[in-house]
Amino acid sequence: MTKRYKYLSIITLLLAGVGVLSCIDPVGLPIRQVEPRLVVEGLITNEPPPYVIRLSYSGAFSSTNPTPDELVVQGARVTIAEEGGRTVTLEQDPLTPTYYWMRDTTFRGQVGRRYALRVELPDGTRYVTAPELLAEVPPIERLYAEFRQQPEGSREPDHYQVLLDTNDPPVRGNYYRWSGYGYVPHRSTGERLGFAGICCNWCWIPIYAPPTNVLSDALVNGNRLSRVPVLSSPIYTVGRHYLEIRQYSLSREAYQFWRRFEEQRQRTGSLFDPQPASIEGNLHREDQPERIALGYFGASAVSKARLEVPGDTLSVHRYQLRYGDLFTPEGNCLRLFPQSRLSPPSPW
Amino acid sequence: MEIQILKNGFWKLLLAGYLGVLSYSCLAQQAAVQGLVTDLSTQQPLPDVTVLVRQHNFATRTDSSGYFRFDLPPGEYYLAFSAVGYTSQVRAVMVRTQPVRLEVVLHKDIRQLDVVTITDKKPDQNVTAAQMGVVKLDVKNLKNIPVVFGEVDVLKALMLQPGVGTVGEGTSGFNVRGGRTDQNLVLLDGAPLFNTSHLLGFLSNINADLTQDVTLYKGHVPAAYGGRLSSLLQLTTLSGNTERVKLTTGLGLMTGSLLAEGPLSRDRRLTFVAGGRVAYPNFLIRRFPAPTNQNRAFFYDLNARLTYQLTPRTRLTTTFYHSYDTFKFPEDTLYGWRSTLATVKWSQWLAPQLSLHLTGTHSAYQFELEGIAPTNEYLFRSGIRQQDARADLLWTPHPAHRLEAGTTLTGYYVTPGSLHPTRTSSNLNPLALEAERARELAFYLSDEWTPLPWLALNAGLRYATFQNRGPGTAYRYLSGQPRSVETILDTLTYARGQTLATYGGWEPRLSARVTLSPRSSVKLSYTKMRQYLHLISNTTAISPVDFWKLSDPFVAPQVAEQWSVGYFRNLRDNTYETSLEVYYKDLTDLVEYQEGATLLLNPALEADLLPARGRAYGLEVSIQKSKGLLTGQLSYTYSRTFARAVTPFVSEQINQGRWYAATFDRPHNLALSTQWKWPRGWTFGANFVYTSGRPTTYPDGTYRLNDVVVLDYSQRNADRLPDYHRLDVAFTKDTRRQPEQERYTTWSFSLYNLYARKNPYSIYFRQEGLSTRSYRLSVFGTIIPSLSWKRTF
Repeated sequence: MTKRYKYLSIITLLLAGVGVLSCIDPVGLPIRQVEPRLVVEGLITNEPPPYVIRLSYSGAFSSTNPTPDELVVQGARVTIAEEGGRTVTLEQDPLTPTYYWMRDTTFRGQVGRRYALRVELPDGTRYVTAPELLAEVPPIERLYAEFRQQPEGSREPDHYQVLLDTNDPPVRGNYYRWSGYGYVPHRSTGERLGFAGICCNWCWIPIYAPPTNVLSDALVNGNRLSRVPVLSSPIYTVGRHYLEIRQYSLSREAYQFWRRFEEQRQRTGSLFDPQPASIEGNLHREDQPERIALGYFGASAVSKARLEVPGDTLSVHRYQLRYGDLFTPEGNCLRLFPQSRLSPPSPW
Repeated sequence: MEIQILKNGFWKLLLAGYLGVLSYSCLAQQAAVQGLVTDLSTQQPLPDVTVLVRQHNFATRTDSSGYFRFDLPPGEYYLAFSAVGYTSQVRAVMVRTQPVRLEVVLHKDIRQLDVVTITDKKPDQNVTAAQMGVVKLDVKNLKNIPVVFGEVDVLKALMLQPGVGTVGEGTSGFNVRGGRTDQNLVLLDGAPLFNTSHLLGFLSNINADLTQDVTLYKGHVPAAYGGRLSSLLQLTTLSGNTERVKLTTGLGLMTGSLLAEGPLSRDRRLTFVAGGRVAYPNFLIRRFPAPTNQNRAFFYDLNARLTYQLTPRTRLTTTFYHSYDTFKFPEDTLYGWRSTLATVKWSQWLAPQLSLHLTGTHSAYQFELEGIAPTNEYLFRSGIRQQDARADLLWTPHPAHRLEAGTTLTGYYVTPGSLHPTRTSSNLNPLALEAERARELAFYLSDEWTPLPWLALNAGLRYATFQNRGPGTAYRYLSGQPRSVETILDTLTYARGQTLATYGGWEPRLSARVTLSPRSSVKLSYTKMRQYLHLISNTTAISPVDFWKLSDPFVAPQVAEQWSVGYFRNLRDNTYETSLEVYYKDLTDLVEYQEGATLLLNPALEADLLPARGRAYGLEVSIQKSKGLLTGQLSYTYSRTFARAVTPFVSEQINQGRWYAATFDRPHNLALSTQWKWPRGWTFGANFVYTSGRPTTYPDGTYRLNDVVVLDYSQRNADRLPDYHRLDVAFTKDTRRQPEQERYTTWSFSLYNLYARKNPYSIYFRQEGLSTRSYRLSVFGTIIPSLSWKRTF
């Protein structure tokens, strides 16, 4: 379904182009901030706990302070209830107070059951969701990668396009979301350590798939979904890539939520963009159902697959000849790339 | 002998008496004055020529075939014939007992020809006509108006008129008096045109070279037409000259064109017009920066018309139109859309004052989208087909009455969308939404009545009935809950010919003119319209992906009522025409979209639609100078338009159920268009346009979700783009020395957006890391020169 919205954004490209002499300029308009709204983000899966719910308020973010104190929801009472089953209470993380954790190992999401989230704020206002179905997900049948070369003269690296195959069940109404991450090798000039030589001119840096890659089976029901692009893994230098893809089931509401989320993220300013609107989630005030919180509490079954791309089909010398020092920044690789590592993750 | 005399005397007496009665009856009866007005150079009949009887201060105008007729008591009269772009002519007429037949030939006024550009009304019609809110463009002079890419464009010229606007430059469609773009009925020779754009709206697909008349009805739409809320735009193809075969060829930066017209038979009863444009936009596209320069576009359009004058009283006209567009993105998608129109019209003059017109029209529009990306190969199609059969009767039984009556039968066939995989490697399943079918039957009667010299009335009544017919299916939804896939109770199936829904009703169209003085009048008008066909589009500007939908059990017809009042005054012997019009519109059952609606290929589309109410009001002031070497029009419009979604469910509300400004609500509009005739065939044209920015939705909050900062847009259209203004100039050189000159060349050089203002087309916000940045997109952000050449021989 996201495909359809691609058509529209493609028109934008044309518009920007056909207007021979069209131009885009930054205009520094301030963003108004209306009264803060509660924002929820969380997922219960059929994988073992912990499960995490993030609670925050809408408001201004700045580059110096990614989570301003006033936007943190302090001391909320958060519970997840299984329909016809147990109710568990979540605990606020003392270090990152926007996170509320469910660590009870005896509570685990089950396919076919429904789960509801309930949030009681310190001032007594209560937000609830309708029970969300944890639907089944088919396994990832095959995960593979293909080398894609950039056109000559490009300043973007070549990449491995990671593709997956899976089988959509014959029943209509299956919705998917894919996420992925991995570690890819990267060079830097390194840091001189006196007589001990050079440290850290090579590390594995984390990469992530686009956050909201969703699909409805409306147009592909019962088919084998083949060659679904899920991640593009950049080749900064020749070496092994360690990649993991997770395939989630979604409810129809969750699918629509993420579709709108993605649609909004991809707004390009063309007059062919759909009218923008709040992305309404499934959490609302118990006493005033028209007051809806932002964000979504979902329930998903997960199937995952890992892939190791040997990277031995490429010639190191040729790659260096082509890109030179373009992807070799100055400094210690570990400091240049947060959450990077010196040794490859193993076993993968 | 006596008897003989007596007999003789009796006969004489009888004869004298008879003659007396005869002459008396003649005196009482008046004699008809009728005739035909034609153009000297083209030999074509001239419609809308004002015929003024000087002594009586009585005026009429020629009908669409150049005829006029009225009755006068015997006497000597001076008749003045005048039309825009022609030298006026005065003829002395002696009216006795016999009907008087006149043949009047008007000369093109070479100075006027190039000077007069856009005329709202005929010189004295501004004040005297009963109708109001009518815009007539003088197509022959459009070339003097500066245009982008050097393409003379009828629709872009209309944008300079008060009450006509658009959401942004380079977008297709137009908004009339706060109405949506799908609420304009665009008729080309009587057949509806469903898409008026080439190249996604940068140009219109109406070839100005082949267009004879352009009339836009903003308020009082004649009762003969219905089916759209806002306006009627009537376009007619050139009728073709009967004198000789004439060729015109043109070259511009974007298109090349060819036009041929002339007689096909020796007796000149069969004439033809044919022409077309072919575009070579790739020439420009290749000059764009990558990756845009890999796109490819192409379009063309063709018009043709055949006129066969079977007898002096019978004429058969057929017209054909086809336009095609395609656009290709590298390795991704191929867009294409095409319109095909055909009409056949039989006109029969049953009596000098009575004519019958039988018309059959066919209009088809199809959009195609071809996906060529691997594993996603598909062909998406949507389209609409409309066929009309209509009969119209025009009757002028008395100079004070002009009656029109008729009936129309319309068939609609809409294919809202289908998707087919085009390769076996495609993951997609075929999917086709059900076609929609409907039938509409309409009757109308109208009279233009001048009961008193100071009063004219135009009263029309239209009745239409619309039936959405099977085969088809309709879902039944749980009542008391918002419609959604989850609340579908069951599916009702309708067989072929069964009725899914019936709508219809009376549509009165009234207007009145009260003359205050020979040079000023007040006019009033009330119009009611219904619309059964809706363009489904949730974007700010209409795009080719949008599709049409018929009214069905869930989507009621849109209804509009418009009231308007105007004051009209001409100054300095009709040199200046001024008008002031105020209108108010009330709209119901507009189609609005739920937040995040899915429109394409949605079998339960009604669950994503909402009915909405609308209201619009405005004031239009215009001053026009149509005589002299410097002519032009200055207009100012203040107009507002609002909408409000009507739903009992809180979850479906837009802006908490409050009124909000429609996307094309642009309160202040100022337009100045002037043409200045210089010696040696040069004309200098200039436009200045100022418009308030359109409403838009800026983010009014930010939040973090999924590790990215997201913008929240909680209030639709609460913000407004900065104002828009632009100055264009054009220099046109016409090599003609005399109006009758057969071979001549026209050069046009224009500069669009002379002071290179970066007018905002849109302002949008992007989240870049943790900071939100705003950007302004300008479509024509710099000065755009263009040159075009045209040769007639």
